[in-house]
Formats: sequence, C-alpha cells, structure tokens
Amino acid sequence: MAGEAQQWVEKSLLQSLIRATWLRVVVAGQQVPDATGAVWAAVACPVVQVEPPPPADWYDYGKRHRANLKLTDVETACDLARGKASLLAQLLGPAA
Amino acid sequence: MEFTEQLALLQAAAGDPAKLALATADLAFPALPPGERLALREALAAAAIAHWFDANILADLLEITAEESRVLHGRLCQLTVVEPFPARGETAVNVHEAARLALRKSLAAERTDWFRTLSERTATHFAKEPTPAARIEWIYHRLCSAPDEAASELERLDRDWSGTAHPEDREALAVALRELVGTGLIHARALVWASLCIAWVREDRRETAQLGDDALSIRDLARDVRDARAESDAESLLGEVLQAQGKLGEAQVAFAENLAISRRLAEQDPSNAGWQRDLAVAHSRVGGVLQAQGKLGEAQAAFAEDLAIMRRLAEQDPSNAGWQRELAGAHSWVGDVLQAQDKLGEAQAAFAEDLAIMRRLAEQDPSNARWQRDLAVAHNRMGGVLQAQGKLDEARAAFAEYLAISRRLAEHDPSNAGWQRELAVAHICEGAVLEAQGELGEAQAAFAEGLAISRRLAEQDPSNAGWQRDLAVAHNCVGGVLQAQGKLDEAQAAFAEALAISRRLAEQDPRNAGWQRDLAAAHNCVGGVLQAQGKLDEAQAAFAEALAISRQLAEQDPSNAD
Repeated sequence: MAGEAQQWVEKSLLQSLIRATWLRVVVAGQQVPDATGAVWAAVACPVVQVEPPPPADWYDYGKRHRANLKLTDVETACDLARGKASLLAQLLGPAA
Repeated sequence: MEFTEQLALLQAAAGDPAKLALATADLAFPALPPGERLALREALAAAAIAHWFDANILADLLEITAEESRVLHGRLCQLTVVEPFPARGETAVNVHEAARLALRKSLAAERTDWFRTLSERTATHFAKEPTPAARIEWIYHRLCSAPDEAASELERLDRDWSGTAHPEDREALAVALRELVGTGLIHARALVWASLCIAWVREDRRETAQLGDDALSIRDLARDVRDARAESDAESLLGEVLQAQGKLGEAQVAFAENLAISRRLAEQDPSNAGWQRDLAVAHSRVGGVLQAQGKLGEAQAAFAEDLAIMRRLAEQDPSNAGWQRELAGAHSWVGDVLQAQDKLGEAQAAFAEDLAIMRRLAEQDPSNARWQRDLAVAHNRMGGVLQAQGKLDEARAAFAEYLAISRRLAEHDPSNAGWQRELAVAHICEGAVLEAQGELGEAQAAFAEGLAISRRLAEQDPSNAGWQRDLAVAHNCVGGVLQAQGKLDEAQAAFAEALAISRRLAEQDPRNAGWQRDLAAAHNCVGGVLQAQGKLDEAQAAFAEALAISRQLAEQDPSNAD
C-alpha cells in the first residue's frame, strides 16, 4: 500500500476506528500501516506476518491448470521468480 | 510458448524486478505472436510511468489509435501486476506499486530519452484537466521530463495552493513528491522545490520543530543550484523551525535573510505578483518574530508593510482567493500587535476585516478545511479582543464559533497537530470567558479539556517549545479557576507545574520576551496563591521575582502596554 491509498487508510479510515468501535478493518499487503505513535495504535492488533506459499502449495494450484506439471519445475519457478506471487500466479494460473 | 521457455524467460530476468514485471506479459499471453507480446511489454512499461491509466491515457502515451489502445488496455488488465483503480474511473487501472517503481527506475536508467518522452506525454495528457489529482499527476511528470522548467512550475503551483487548496490536496501533492524524491529520479532545482513543498506541508501540520535538518539541507542545496527564490523559501522555513524551537534570535536572522532575498527579487521584477506576495509574507514573518521578542513598534512596521503589499495585490486581482486569504492574515497580524499595545478599538477593527474576508472565503467553499481553520482563528482573535474590552457575551459567542469549527476539524483529522492545538486553545478561551462570567465549574471543565490535549501534544513532540508554552498556559488556567473556587492546594500544584515549564523555556532563550513575560506571570500566580494561603514571606519572594522580570521587560520596550 502506498501513495494516495496509504494516506486515506492511515489518515481517514483507521482514525475513524477510534469512534467506530463496532467496526473491524483488516489491512493485508506487503506493507501495512505502522501503528507506532499513531492515534489509532490503542485499537490496533499486532501485525501478523504471513509467509509466501511454499513450492508445494504452488504445485497443487498449478496442477489444476497444467496436468503434466512437475514439482521440480515449480521449485525452479519459485526460485527464479524470487517468490513473487503475482508472477507465479501468472505462470501457474489459468491462461489469459 | 512452452513452460520451459517461460522458465527460461524468468531465468533471463535474473531477479531484476523490472524484467520480472515485464515477464508477466509473456507468461499471461504465451500464445500471442512474439511481435504482439513485445508490444504488450512496451505498453506495460509505458503504463508504469503514470500512477494510473485507462485506454485514453494509454493511447496518448503510446501515440496509438483508440482501437489499438483498447485492445492493449484489455490485455494489460489481465496481468496480475495490474489492478483496478476505481477512484480514477470505471476503467482506470494501475500497475502495482513495487512493479511500477521498478519499471520507472529501469526505464529512467536504461532508456532515458524514452522515459522523458513518456513522462512528457503523460504530463501533456493531464495538463488539460483542472482537478487537483490531475494537477498533481501533471507536475509529477513534468519534473521527470523537463525538471528545470517544472521546478519553477512547482514553485508557482505550491504558492497558489498554499492559499487556496484543500489541505488534503496539498498532502496528496507531498505524497507524490515524496515518492519521486525517494526514487532518486530528480535532482538540482527540481529536488529543491519538491523538498520545499514536502517540508511546508509538514510545517502546516505543525511538525515544524522536527524540520531543522531538512531546512538546512534544502537551503544548502538551493545555494548550490543558485536558486535565490528557493534559498529564500528555505531560510523562511528555517526561521519557522527555529522559532518553533524557541530560538528567536536565530529565527530572526533566518527571516531577515528571507526578507533580504525577497526584497531583491521583488525589485528585480515588480510585475511578478508571486514574488510580491513572497515579500509580503517575509515581512509578516519578521514581524512575528519581533513581536515574540516584545519589539512591538518594529513588529507593527513589518506588519504594515505586509498589509500594504497584500492590499495592493488583492485590489489588482480581487478574484484571487489566495491573495484574499493572505490579506485577511495581514489584517490579523496588525490586529495582534495593536492589541498587544492595548489599542483595543483599532485591533478590533483589524480583526473584523480578517473575519469578514475569511467568512466570505469559507462560504465560497465550506469544504476547504484550511479556510475553515482560518475562519476559526479569526473568531478566536475577535473573541480575545472583545473579552479584553469586557464584552463577555460577545466574546463568548465568538469563542463558541471558534470551538465548534476547531472541534470539527480535529475530529476530521486527529493526527493533525495544528488542528489539535487549535482545539486545545479553543477550550482554554472558552474556559477563560466562562471564568470571567463566574461560571467556575464549567470553566474548570473547559480548561481540563484544553490541558489534556496540550499535555498530549507536548508529550508527542517535546522539542516544540510552542507546545510546552501551551501546556504552561493550560496549567495556569486550571490553577486560576481552582484558586477562585478556594481549592488553594490544588491551585498551587497547577501553578507550580506552569512555573516549572515557564522557567525551563525562559532559561532556554532569555531573549524571548514572551517567555520572560510568561515567567513573570507564573511567579505572580504562585505568589497570589501563597498569599491566599497566608504564606506571606514566600508570596513576597515570588512577587519580587515577577517584579524584577517585568521591570526588565518594561525597560526593554517602553511602548509595550502589556
């Protein structure tokens, strides 16, 4: 999250949580707002670090679209793509 | 394209984020002929130049037909590195942030001319649109395509926006510029003006005291690139920082430098209204720091210069809301110094001018939070001068307006320290007039609200002397109303807190007449409560301290009626 969206989430959305105590917001992404020193820090949960899927999970996903896919190829792909999910999804997902 | 070929493509990228992003075009459309895949890769690279794009923008970027663009846009939308951007239209999309920045950086380094051409085409596309988002996009790409010219365009844009734009638009501009500075794609004057814009937005949010290093490095860079206007602006920023840190002597030097450069530039080209405005602002800043030092006569002369220039500019172009706002500000400065000289009738007249202009502007665009804030402050000033004349009901009504607007703004953006500060001051003003009307319980509650906010601000940024001063004032007010209710021990504790802060500030910069005056007032308050407790020797000692300081101040500036 960056730029305009980041501004809006941090300066408007999350700040409204102080008053809207009934509301729950989940922010997911490579970068999430830092609660340190923020006015909404008191109502924020700790950040949960999610690991990228391992090659075996990508293999299970890719097999649905490529019947003859091999786990070793997926391992190579994960390595070459530096684990980038957008790239692996494009490679192993359905054809456009 | 076989899977092994696709892997070979990834291998060839060798982990380069830009090449990996481009590879998504080949991975998504393996069946396309190589020529079409290449065109798609080129389209993706071009699309990464803008923060967002649709088929129209893509057509302008690549100078292709609407039909060709529609096909490419449709294909790009199927890439996993492209996502919808509904805030900019139903068909608007953007390249993911990380991929976009990597592609821009790669283009700028490896195909510099093409990067500039694409940036210029993007700027040209957005130049036609008047919306703030389009203006931001326009200047962002101008800074990449024609940095030196764009630096001057940014200077003008920021000057226009400083008086008229909604704060959120200025903040959005700062966000875009921060991204540009962060990627290292701009240098020299473009970097100087981008850095100045970012810093002034932070100053506007009253993060002033934290901007010392930025102000110095921007000033040095402005000198290196020989941009006198930017150097002057950086001196002004530095002066604001030093003043916020309570270093009035040093602030005065910086503001004097700002004024000298502004005067030279204005004389060089008297027809440049922007530079005339900058000269007016420079006078007002000098006036502000002189007033803070208790030099009221000199401050009044500086504010009069500011007012004369702004009156001329506003008459020349009455439709310019920015000039109107600056004129309102000039009236308020003059009013402030008149009030400090006990010329209450004249001060009220000046504040009435300020209020009338700000009321008109706020009615023109009620959603402009900056104008709302200025209107709130105009009510506050009017309330203050009415209260000083004993017109308590009218003062109370003015402060109620001040409080209502300040509360709305603070709720709108609780992270804006400036708006939080206004809310604290509004509570204190409301408390003061309630106290004067004998409503002590209500006054105490109002002071407590002000104290709580001031305490939070002072804790958040201990380097901001202004926040410390506000905290001392709030303690004093609480002490006063407790004393009036006969709660002498509690009052003494509150006054002791105020005295400790005032003493610390006065020691930090003994030349600051305002802080010396605060210290004298704090001693007086402590003396008063000690006297009420029958501790006469201690009370006498406190009053003696107050008298000594007051005597010194009176000798420094006999024209000061305070």
